[in-house]
Amino acid sequence: MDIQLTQILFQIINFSVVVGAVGFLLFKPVLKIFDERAKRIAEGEKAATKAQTAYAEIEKNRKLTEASLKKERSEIVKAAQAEALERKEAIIADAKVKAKALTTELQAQWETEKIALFKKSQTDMAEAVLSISEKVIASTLDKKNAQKLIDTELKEIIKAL
Amino acid sequence: MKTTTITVIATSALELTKVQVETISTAVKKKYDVSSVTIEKVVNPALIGGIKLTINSVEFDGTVQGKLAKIRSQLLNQL
Amino acid sequence: MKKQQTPPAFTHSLANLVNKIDTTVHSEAVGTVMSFGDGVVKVKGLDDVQSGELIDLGKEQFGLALNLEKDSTGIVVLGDAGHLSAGTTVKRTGRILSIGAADSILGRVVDALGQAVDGKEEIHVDKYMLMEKKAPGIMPRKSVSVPMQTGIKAIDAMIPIGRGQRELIIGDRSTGKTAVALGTILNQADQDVICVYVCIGQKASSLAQTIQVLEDRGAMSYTTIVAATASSTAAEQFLAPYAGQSIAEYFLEKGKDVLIIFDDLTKHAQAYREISLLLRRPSGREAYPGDVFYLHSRLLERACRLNDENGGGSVTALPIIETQANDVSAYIPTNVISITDGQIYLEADLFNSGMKPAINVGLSVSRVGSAAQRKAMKQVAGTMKLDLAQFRELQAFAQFSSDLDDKTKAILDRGEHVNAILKQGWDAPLKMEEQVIVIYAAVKGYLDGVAIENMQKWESEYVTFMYSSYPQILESIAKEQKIIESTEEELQSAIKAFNDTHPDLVPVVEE
Repeated sequence: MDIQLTQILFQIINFSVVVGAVGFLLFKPVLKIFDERAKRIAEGEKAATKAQTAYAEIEKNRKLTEASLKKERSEIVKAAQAEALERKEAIIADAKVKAKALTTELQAQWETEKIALFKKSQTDMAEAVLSISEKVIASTLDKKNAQKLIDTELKEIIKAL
Repeated sequence: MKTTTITVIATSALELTKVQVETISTAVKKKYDVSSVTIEKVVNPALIGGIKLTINSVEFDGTVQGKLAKIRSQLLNQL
Repeated sequence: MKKQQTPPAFTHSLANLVNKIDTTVHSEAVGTVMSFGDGVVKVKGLDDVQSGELIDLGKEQFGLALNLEKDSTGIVVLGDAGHLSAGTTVKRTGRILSIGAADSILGRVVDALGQAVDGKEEIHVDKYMLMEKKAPGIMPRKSVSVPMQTGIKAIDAMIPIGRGQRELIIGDRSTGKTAVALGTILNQADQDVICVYVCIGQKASSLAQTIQVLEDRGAMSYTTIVAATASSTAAEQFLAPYAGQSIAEYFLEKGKDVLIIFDDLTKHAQAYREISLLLRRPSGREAYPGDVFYLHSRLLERACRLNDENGGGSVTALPIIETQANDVSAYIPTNVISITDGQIYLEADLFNSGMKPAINVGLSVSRVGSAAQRKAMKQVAGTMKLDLAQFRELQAFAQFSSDLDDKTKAILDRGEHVNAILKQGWDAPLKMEEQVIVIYAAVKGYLDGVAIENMQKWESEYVTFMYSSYPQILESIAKEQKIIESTEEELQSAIKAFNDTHPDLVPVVEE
């Protein structure tokens, strides 16, 4: 029984020495490992938050550019519409001018046609008058008057000789 | 050089009287200074009235038809 | 309301007119028809008739006294005197043949007697111009110095025509002679030049097409057409050029510049031959009468440039002659070549090989030459004729030998490109500035990289480019009438810029 007691005591001391030594030797490195892990986790968290903020920034920018693009697009559309309107008005004005020119041309044509018709009616009238006088003279000229006519004409001819 | 004869063609609507022929002859003799005048008489009723003298391809138109033609051409030219 | 106004004016003026009529007897020289056939009337009588006098044939028909013989007069009928028979009387009018002209004759189509044939109202005559008139003497004339721009590069660069010159357009049938003439008319839109186009013996359908083209391009406002188509009498065809010349002289007296085109004088000579043979005048070579040279010389001598005391106007004549089988040594062509101040020779071979206008630059000549060219054009076109002559010389070589030295190859290449740039559509005239910049690019070698098929495209895009991006170059050339140094540098950079921005036309050569 004595020997067993010293052995147990020796074992206990040995055990505690070992525990102490191991603990002393490994405690710091293990702590360091824990620290490092904690540090790494903290860094990871920081990076994650940074990425999140960056993403939020990008999202914000994207929304802004989208908005500005929309605005630009609407401006372009507005400008195109205004130009189209201008063109339409220019075309209409042009057409009006052309129509006016056409009407003046037609009016001028009508004037010349009117004058031509007028002249034609005058010519027809003159022709009619001449043929009437021819017929009248032919029917009313009896022998005595005819001889008198010859005498008068002869006098005129001799004058012109 | 003096031409001694000249031919006159007298165209009328009806037959000319002797007096008229004489008048023509004397007038032509005087104007053209010839010794004798030959008068050819042509009757053309289409002339309606009056007389036309043709002397050496120069014509003196005193017919009604001729006057009407003159009126017509002058009138139409002026229109 | 207007209707109410017309009746009183109607009878009023008619009565007035009747009052003005004179019916006194006057002497009239008359003649008797002895024979009438083939448009020629033999008349006895008609003493004292003058040569070239108008004879009244009755029924509003007139004739021209051309043959004055001892016992009879030969009268050529102007129109169709179907009522004439043996024994009919005809009268002298005392008027020498003349045509009525006015400012309103522009835009109208008239026949050889001045009557309107385009269906519109009659022309109110301002002045009667004699058809047969003596050409201006030596003192009233001035030498030709102002260019007549045809708008055709080949002509304006190497065979320049001046105002007051006579330049013959000669070639076989269907070589583009009328096209050259019409292209010139189209280019006179902003040149303050009045144009007269005399159509002798052409088809009525071709003339109708021509009138349509001129109307569509707005050229009728400064053009008069004298039409004696193939169905008109030989007398009308004979008189048409003189009628056109008289109309041109009406404007010449007002100091204007006139361009007159006779299309064509071959048919004119044939019509005159017909009349002369019917009048039994003695015939000569090729059955033409002895005075067929005088027929054309007295017509073309009336085209002149007057000095400032006589108005300063000019008449430029472009007669057209049709040859048979390229024979320029036939009777009528040699006659007219010796009268005119140069010729533009169109060849069927060139036309068929795609060169349009088919101008043979080697055989064509303008005796007025660079006196009638602007300095700008002289600067660029001076060497072009030489380049083309060298090219033609070597062209024959190239067909035989395929192994050529570099220098010859370069000349051939440059010649081909310069030749290709001369191709042009007949209805696409170019202004002087446009011609200058195009020819400058060609002779300075900027076109050597362009493929021959793309030439026309290059030219049209180049001109558009210059108008939109460098209008100041064109304005400067038009204003200064020459290329000043600063403009030249700008032009060079402009051409380089154009070539660089059009790699499809000017392929980039890999070094």
